Amino acid sequence: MVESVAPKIGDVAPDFTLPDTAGQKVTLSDFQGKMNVVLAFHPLAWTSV
Amino acid sequence: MRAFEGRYAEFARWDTQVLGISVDSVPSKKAWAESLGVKSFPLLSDFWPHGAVSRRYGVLRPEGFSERAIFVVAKDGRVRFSKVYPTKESPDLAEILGVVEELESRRWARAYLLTESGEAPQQAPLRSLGPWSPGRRFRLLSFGFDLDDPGLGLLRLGQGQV
Repeated sequence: MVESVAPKIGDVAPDFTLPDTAGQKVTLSDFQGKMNVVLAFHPLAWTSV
Repeated sequence: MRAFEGRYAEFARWDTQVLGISVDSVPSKKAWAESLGVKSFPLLSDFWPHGAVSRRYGVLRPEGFSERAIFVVAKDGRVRFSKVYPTKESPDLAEILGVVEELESRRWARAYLLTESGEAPQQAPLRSLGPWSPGRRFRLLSFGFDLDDPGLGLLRLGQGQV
């Protein structure tokens, strides 16, 4: 698969929908106009890598 | 993620939602969140399609899990900060809080400083144009604003009066 280039400062953030720990869907664009969003990517749960 | 949990109120203060993302499955993240005591913000599973969101953000490592990375998305939907960290390093939360504080503090000023072609607010001083909202644009007629304090005065106008 082709790796994407990270969005640059000023780019529209790519939208997505992912499940949370309760299985509820969370969509990034739902926050637009309401909240700033910090996307905190981390490697793996349970272990430090 | 525990660090974000500990300072969550400071993010909320700047109208900021934190979303934790990794390729772990929902059950795995649920158990992990409980073990860490993380409950103030969602932990999302970029599990299926595997790493699709991480890939889209350019942070999927060849090993199949994501980098440790932060993106700040402002209320206008645009990326305003991004940083990738060595995986064993914790992000400096003060730096991220500084970014969102600045976004909130400048939000009014930015609306008036954007230039766009389009309909000009004819003859109307800026202060009578009504409240600013996301997506609203004005055209600058000139750089010499008819305000008591050009530049800095404009910032004060945005924050206090509309």
